[in-house]
Amino acid sequence: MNNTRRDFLKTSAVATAGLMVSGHFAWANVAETLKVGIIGCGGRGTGAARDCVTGADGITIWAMGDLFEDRLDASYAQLKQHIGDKLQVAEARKFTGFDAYQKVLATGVDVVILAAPPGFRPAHFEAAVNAGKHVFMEKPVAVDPTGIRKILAAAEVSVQKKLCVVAGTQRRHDPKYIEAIQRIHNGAIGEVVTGQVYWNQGGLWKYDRKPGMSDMEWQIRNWLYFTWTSGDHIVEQHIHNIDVANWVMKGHPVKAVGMGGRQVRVDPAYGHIFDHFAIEFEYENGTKILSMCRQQDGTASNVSEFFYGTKGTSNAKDSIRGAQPWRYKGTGPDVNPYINEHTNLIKAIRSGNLLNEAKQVAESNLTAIMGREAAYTGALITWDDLLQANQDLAPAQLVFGDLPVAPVPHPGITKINRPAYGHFFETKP
Amino acid sequence: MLQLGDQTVSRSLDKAMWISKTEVTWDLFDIFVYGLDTKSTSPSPEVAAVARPSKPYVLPGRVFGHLGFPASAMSYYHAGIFAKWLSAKTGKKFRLLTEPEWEYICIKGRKPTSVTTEEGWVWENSDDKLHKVATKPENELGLVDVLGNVGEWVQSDAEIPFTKGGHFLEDAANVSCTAKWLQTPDWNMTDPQLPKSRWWLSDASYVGLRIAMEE
Repeated sequence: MNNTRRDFLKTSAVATAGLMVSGHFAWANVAETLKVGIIGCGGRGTGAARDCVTGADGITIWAMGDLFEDRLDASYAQLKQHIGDKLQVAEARKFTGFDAYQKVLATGVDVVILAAPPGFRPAHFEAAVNAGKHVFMEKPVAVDPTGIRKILAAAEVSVQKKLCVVAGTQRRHDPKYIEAIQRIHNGAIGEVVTGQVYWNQGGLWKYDRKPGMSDMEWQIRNWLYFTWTSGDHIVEQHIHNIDVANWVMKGHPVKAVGMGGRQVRVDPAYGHIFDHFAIEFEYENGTKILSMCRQQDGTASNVSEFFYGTKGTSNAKDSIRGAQPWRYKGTGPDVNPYINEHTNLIKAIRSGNLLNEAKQVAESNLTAIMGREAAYTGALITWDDLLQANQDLAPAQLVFGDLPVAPVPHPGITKINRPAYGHFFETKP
Repeated sequence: MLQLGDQTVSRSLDKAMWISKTEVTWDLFDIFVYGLDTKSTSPSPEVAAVARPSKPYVLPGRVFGHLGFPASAMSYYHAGIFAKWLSAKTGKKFRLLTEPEWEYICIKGRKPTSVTTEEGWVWENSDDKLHKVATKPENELGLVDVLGNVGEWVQSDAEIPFTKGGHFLEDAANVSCTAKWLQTPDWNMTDPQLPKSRWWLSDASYVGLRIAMEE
């Protein structure tokens, strides 16, 4: 961060080469090539594989698994074009189907990238840890308390096994956020009194159902819009900003109240999730953070965080005002956090300095679920109750066939411990 | 990447043309991006033939404000398709300015010196934010924010597309009518997908456009 942006502009043509010889590639000798498997070969899994081989030397993409052959083939073609010989996936190490992840884990890979839709993550992470693999896993890592407990249990095992785990909450690997939050933790704005975190934007892509396609296939391909696959957008997307709140607050909230609804994006092509949420999170010390997220086309967007302290304010990223002011100068990240997270993972694996973010991301993930449940149910949700809740949104079995879409949640009636399908209503005696 | 052009060339327009007074704002750009023009009426075949952008995962510029603010973070390809759509909608010929045209509208009535903070939104006065268009004085042609706020795509055959006019995160000293910014990988550094979006530049909140119309 010593370079001024002007220096950066002058050297931007060689920026990538510049990074290659900087401190991020400190190891001189790569003892052995690390083999990486991809589980979930969509745009993000494919991007993560590129980021991994870009972020470190001595990496080979060795095996690939996806539920769908067309997704796997498209991913392979993209990677061949972008990373060339670092892609060494023989036909025999390409796997499709619901059990593709187990087959990838059995190919002798050292590291796996877990990037299937979030509802599948707990099973994939548990299997990867049991197989003794280091892990990069995209956020979110679960969609319900049952999944979170599975992640937390596997996280403990992964620490015992000295496995490295990095999660796709890439702000944790962004030098701007790291510096700003370090300053906040060092007292630059005094005691944090309150804050706001936002992810307000328009809608995202949807996958249109093809004739003859089963419910299961359509829901998984259109996974953003079903709670069992994505967790809803507060979990799938807003987790990034909620994670920043927990990072600044050095812990997770203990309760949440909130509201939300499905107001504009009501076509069944968009499943059953909400299109807006507003949640108040309360932390152990009584500090309250307001969280807001929206996916409605043509509305004002805001993706940011802001914190107020007794001695100043900060956006936790590039600006601190008050007693100890600070301003980051630049047009963008000097280091791409999406690459840096892989650099840090591989460095940790090779150095033996344990880096394991599984518990941290699980806690931010449960925080987001707590917000969702506060809005879905209309109730005050406590951390302890939610962590123990029986809620399990997954279908009873993973087969291509019929799968009804659960009704849109109804605050005041919907309960946390609801059946995954059929109805949301608790029968009253 | 910042490059400086020749400041001694005299510039003129070949013919009369209409040039948007402001940088294109979200008020107009949203209609294209979100297909708001097709919600209640069927588009003409010409309009229907124009591709629409993908839904952006995040628009880096939009934390600053929306209606009345310059549209930003669209790719050069996207800016060109937008002009094509606007032409199909109106039956008139809209396009980006060429570099000589852009330099003409910038230099007219003004010395080829760096921008002042009275003239435009730059690093020294922007507070790290894009500002509503037309909150700085008009230039001699009645145009606003030619220098500063968003850098503006111009039409060219160059291999690497570029913007003119500098932007809100650029030092005033670098922002002049002759300077141009060639797109670099960091404009789209943090798009996490592969392939990266052809429509949106994940990190370029400082890139926008102004349009011209020929009679």
